[in-house]
Amino acid sequence: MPAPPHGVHPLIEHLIRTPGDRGLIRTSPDVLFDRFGVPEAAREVLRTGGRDDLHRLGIHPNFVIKWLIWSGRPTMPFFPIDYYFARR
Amino acid sequence: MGRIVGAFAMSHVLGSPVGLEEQAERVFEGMKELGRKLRATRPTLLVMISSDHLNNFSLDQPMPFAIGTADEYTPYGDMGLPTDPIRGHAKFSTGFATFAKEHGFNVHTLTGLRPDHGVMIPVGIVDPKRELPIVPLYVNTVYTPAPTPQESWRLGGLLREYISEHCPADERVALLAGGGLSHWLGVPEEGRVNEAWDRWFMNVLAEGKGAGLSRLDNEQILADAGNGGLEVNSWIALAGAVPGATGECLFYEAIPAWASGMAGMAFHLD
Repeated sequence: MPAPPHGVHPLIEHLIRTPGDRGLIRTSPDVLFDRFGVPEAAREVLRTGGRDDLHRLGIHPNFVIKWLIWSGRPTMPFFPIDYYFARR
Repeated sequence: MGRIVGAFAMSHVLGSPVGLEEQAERVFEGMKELGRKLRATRPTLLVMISSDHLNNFSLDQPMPFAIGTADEYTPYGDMGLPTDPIRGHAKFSTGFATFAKEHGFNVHTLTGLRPDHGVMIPVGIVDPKRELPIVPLYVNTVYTPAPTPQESWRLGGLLREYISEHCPADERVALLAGGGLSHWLGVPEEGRVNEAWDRWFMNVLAEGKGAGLSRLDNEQILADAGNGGLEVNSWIALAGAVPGATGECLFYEAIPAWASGMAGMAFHLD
């Protein structure tokens, strides 16, 4: 697996620590890409790519899942945890 | 000397029930049954062995084995999980980390920990009233290289020794491993479940032959059970804490839509 593009892992780690910035993925992704120095070549894949595209970039699988969820392109459907937890 | 009064293992995720309501319900009921059995052991403390999902750990600072050392934790709240605080047990945690270090095994201590679903789905189901202090003990298989089965088995052995040699006589410890079984996540194989491997793995544990699993290597697990399947190292750590204990499968469902072999086991302790 290749090394991930510069800045991508630090960007995602930032979003883990700073949930308030996750909205920028949909509204102003270039703000995030610029801040973390993500190369142009990777940006389109991050904006529109699927799981396998992100995997090919060398992004950690766990970060692939997080990125796609925050981008509104989850690999598995959302469900309310209360469906279960309300019946514990 | 303290006692291990219960040992259990279960997957640490849930998924959408849409389109597979009956199967989802069997998993949920199995998890609840596991919780009832765990509570019936009347524990005073729950050690939760699981992997974090890089919500508390950084790729730049690998901590393959780690432990939360607080007297209270606020959950991370991923997957919409409740964030009301849970009790910890700082004295146990720091004592165990020191004990492990004295025996040449590095268990990183972590402050500011906010347990994610790897801890909070199992704990939320087995202890819904938040009655038990929790010790989050991490076997972080998100790293490459990941903790090995041999190391995980040894961690379990150290945990057993610590509980028996250093905990007060009235400490009744339940152990719960979380994660697995086979699953591929965030990779092209996502959605694959290797039911045959999952059942083989559980059968070995059920027969009390967990020591054999400590001789697996992560390359084998990766090939047979996927990157998420490496989480079975938590189960191997648990087995190392109760060597020779036989057990039973409480539930198993292969659910490709959740990208997981969903399982739960209870071990028989004397």
